[in-house]
Amino acid sequence: MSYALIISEVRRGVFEERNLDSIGMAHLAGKDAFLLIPEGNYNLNNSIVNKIIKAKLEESLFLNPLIITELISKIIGTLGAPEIVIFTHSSSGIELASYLAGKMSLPIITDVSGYDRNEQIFFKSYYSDKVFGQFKKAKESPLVITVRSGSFKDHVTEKGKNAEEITVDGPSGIEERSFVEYVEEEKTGVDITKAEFLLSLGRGIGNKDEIPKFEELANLMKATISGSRPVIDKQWLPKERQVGTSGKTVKPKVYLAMGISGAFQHIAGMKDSECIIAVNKDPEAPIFQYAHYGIVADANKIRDKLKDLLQG
Amino acid sequence: MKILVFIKQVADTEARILIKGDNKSLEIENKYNLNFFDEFAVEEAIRLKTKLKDSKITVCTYGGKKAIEALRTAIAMGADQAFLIDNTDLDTEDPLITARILSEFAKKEGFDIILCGRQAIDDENGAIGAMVAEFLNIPHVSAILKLDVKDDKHMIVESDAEGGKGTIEVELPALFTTQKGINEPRVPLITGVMKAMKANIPVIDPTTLGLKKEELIKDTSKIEVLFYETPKARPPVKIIDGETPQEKAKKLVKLLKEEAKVL
Repeated sequence: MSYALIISEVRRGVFEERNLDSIGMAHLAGKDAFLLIPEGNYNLNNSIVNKIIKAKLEESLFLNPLIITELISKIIGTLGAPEIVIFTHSSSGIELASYLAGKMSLPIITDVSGYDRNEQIFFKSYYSDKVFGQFKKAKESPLVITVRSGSFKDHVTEKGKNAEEITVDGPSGIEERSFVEYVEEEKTGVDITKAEFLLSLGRGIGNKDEIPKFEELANLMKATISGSRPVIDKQWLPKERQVGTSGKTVKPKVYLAMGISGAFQHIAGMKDSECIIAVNKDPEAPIFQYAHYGIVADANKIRDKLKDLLQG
Repeated sequence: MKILVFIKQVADTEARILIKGDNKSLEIENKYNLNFFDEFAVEEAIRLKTKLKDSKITVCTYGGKKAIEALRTAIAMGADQAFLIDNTDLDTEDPLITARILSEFAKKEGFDIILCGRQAIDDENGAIGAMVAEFLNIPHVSAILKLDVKDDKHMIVESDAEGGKGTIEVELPALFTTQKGINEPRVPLITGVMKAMKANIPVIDPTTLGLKKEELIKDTSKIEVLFYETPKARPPVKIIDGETPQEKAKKLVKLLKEEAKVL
């Protein structure tokens, strides 16, 4: 049977949204989607997969590579080998995928962000998206991949009926690596990755005293404030607001970058935004190579005028 | 305690990268560094050595002759010895092959703890650490942010998980991959640099590690690279003109209202 085995990422009772990219990948590849998930009540639309395989174990044990590998061996024992095993491209997904590939000597491609269904070619980026590679698996064996968040969720389709459910027993105790606890990130209520409209600030705004004025503008526009690395390093904005390779990857509808020159580490974190508007006084700033719209002007002057217009 | 650190030499983030005429290989400007995430591994090894008696840090890479520079950087920081497993003519994109070679080296050299960066910044695979651990049949934790010694057989680590951290107790021998934030890698002192320049770095032929040459070459790779391509060219930016900031701001408001529809 030609199926894709999807390893879901679940934490504290939450079925992570990036799992939809794994499911979308299976749909795009034209494979039956079999979802492996621990027992429990997860907020999951069960008509988007063909089969749900419930593992009888606690969620905290599920993302342990030793256990996942055993669970997958069991599944292969009963259902046959999948054509493809799909993980999310997250810290835990990469860890599990590599471990599985090592254990079973399977080919692996991580951070897959595109797929050509006719040619069965996978795409992944190199050097922070400076170059893209096209890959094909060369041998007849299951392929292990991790998929980039946001890449495939649009390919998820409803199957019109609910998935069949089966269960698989969890393996007995694993002693070499035991989970102690999970510590939540400090929550302050702001998740810039969920914002539709980001007003993003860079070093070009001058100094910390300008921040409140941008906050006023953000309120007027109902935008969320984010920033580039220099702004975070100087502590003008908290770390959770940082966009870029050492911060967060965002894809809002509108990314309004003010005073951001556009170092590639920053670009990597925002280039897939639907509409990028850059305001910078330097017409040579790299950000203009990525922006859809550009304004060559002092960011603070544009801010003041915008405020006047929106208030008036 | 034997601490083993696997590193990789990678192109600098600012290096120019061109796709060669055959579309199957890359030409990289001659600017190379010790991989960003591996610097944390070397630093953590050095810190661990100060906590554990009679420890020795061995650094190893599977790479071209040039990679000896990255090994010297690790010695300059404070590693005790280094080995280069020479991949000349054996270069492959398959992490399975690299992981097998490194694990064979680890078996020969012996180890209590293995550290390496969570991923290389060039191919961004992030696969080697976990695979080596699997080949060695030892536990591992990826992307650690803290490494504490519990006793001489157990470590307590904090690992990066989406939206939080996990705390995990691990029995040695084990492998850990390091994440940004675990430490601040030191800048080598001049005495370290002098030591590194003089250090004798043995070069190992990978076929002497007990693997057959057929197992190491591209043909056995389970992944085939078809082409490299540059990202799709983006449409040129549309500059919003105006005589004054006022005019530009007006046009921007219009754009946000009518095209982007966020106002």
